[in-house]
Amino acid sequence: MSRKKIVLLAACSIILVTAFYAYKEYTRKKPNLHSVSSAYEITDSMLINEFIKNEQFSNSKYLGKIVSVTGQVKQLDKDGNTVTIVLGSMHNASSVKCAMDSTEKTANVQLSETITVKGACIGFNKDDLIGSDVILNRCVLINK
Amino acid sequence: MNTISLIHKISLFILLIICTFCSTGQTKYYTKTAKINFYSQAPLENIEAVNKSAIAIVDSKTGDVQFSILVKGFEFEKALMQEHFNENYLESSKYPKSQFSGKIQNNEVVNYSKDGAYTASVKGTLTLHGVAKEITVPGITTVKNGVPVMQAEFYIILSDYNISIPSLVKDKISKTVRITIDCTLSNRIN
Repeated sequence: MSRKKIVLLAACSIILVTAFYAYKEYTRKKPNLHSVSSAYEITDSMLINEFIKNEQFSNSKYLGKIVSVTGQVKQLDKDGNTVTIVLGSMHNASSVKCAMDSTEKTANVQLSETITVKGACIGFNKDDLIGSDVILNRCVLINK
Repeated sequence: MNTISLIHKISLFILLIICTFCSTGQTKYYTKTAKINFYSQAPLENIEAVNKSAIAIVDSKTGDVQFSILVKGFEFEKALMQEHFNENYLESSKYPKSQFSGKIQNNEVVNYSKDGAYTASVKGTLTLHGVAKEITVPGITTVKNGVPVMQAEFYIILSDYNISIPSLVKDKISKTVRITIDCTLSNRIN
């Protein structure tokens, strides 16, 4: 093989690999959280208290991270195909709101049972009037 | 002496009545699951995301409206788009929240206890990406079975909020973004 051919072949394969990588990256979907390990494991009340104590610090610690939260089911909301499981105590207006992944089966979840939910933490909505909430998105159920 | 104390008692009584009257008229409606949709037209592909966990509070007496939203709560179909949205455009780690605080301009025509539809424009301040700007949003309030539903659609210009578009994709990304709001205010506080 001449040198010219080798260079041409190398250039072609580099372009192909780059194009393939770019395409994969561009069409990449968010992973289902069953396949992602959690950065933190915590109870609902501890998570809420951390945010109440120091929101700014907790934001830098938890925002965008995958968190497993264990707590009692306070409320189950269904809006269209979006299921939200609210974890927290009946005696406290604050809670952890878990927006479930659309592929997750939640029919077996019962009110007031203790469950563990894994989700991406998107932040803290502070409101003294209607209760403060830590919000998790794309949640999945674990140890169920 | 006696007359004065009687007057005192009467005025206290009147004050009490006024207070009760005021508090019954001050119903607040709210939801923690307001939907906010973000849409931007682009030649290659439209950019769309939805946030379903916005907080909306409306005071039926004063017409005060408050929205609060966590920027990281916008879900895109594509992971890369969501990452760019959070990291390069909205810088959601630095500015995790966006808020709107305003007033319904014609609140007196909205009857919250009677079914009906009302056009109601809301004027207020939108804080996004750390920049506060006054905007007026045309909306519709529909009352059905005692539950007010607020819907609105408006456009924002990205540069108003210091959101810069990288020069490489400047011609491929729209400078304005359409925001759609849909909230059913099913909870109430009297």
